Amino acid sequence: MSEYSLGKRMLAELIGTYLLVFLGAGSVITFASTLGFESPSASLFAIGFTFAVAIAVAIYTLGHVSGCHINPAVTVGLAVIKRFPLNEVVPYIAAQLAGAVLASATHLAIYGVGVAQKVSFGVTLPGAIIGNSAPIACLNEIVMTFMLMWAIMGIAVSGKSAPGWAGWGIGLIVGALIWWGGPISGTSLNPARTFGPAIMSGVWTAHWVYWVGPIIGAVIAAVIYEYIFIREKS
Amino acid sequence: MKCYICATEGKDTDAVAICIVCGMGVCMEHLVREEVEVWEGGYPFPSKKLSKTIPRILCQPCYTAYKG
Ligand SMILES: [Zn+2]
Ligand SMILES: [Zn+2]
Repeated sequence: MSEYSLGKRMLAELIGTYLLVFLGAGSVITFASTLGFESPSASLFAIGFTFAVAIAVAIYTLGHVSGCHINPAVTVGLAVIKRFPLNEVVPYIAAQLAGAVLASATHLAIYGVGVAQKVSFGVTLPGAIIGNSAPIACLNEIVMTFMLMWAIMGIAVSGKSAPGWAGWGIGLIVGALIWWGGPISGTSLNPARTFGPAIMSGVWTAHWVYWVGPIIGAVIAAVIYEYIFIREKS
Repeated sequence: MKCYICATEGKDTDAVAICIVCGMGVCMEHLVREEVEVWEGGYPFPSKKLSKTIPRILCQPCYTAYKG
C-alpha cells in the first residue's frame, strides 16, 4: 500500500484550510460589512451557508488526498482512536494553521485593515447572550464539535453511509451549528479557523476556548462512536 | 464458450476470457489485458494505492472505444 507523500498531504491540508478560512472567516467580514448591522440573521445565514460550501468543496476535492481534516480537532480525534498516525499529527496541524494564517493574510490584502479589523478578521469570541463567558463558550464548543465529529464518524468513518454525501452532509452540519451557535460562541469548531484571524487581528480573547473546546468535543465523539458503534457490533 | 470475434470471421476458437464491458468471449488474440492501479479508501483518510496492480481484460472493440 502506498499513499500520497506527507508533503503532498500537508499541502492538501494547507489548501483545504485556506479555502475554509478564506471563504468562511471572509464571509464574516463581507456579510458583516454588507448585511450585518441592519440584518444580523441574514448575515448569520449567509455565513453558515458559505462555510458549508467551502467544506463541501474541500472534502470533494481533497478528501482522497489527505483526508481533508482541515481542523486540528478532527486530526487529534482520529489519532486518539488510532485511525491516524500519531507522528503525523503535528505536521498536519502545522499545515492547517499555516493555511489559516495565509487566508487571513489574504483578507488583509483584499479588505484592508479598516474593514477586516471591524470584525477582527472574523475571529470567534464568546457572545453577548452568554455574558461573554469563556467557560460557557467552551462548553458550547465542546457540544457542537461533538456533533461535527459525530457526523464525520457516522457519515464517513463508519462506512455505512452513502459516501457521496460526506461533503454536503458535513458541510451542512457546520452550517447548522453556525446558525444555532454563532451568537453563543462564534461556532469555531476548529482551532485553525480561529487561529488565522487571531494572528492577523491580534485578538486573543478567550483563544484557549477554541483549542480546548473543539479538541475535547471531537475526542469524546470519536471515542464513543468508535468503541460503541463500530468496534462493538454485538 | 467460443471467441465471438473469431466466430464472426468463420473461425471456431475457444474463448480464454470475457470482456468486462460487453461480455463477449475472447481468445488470446482478441483480448487486451492491462494492469490497473487501484486506490482504496478516502475521506476522512488519505486513499491508499494497493501495492499490486489488478488485471483488467477487454475485447479489442471495447478497448478501442475507450482508448481510441
Ligand atoms: Zn478470437
Ligand atoms: Zn467488449
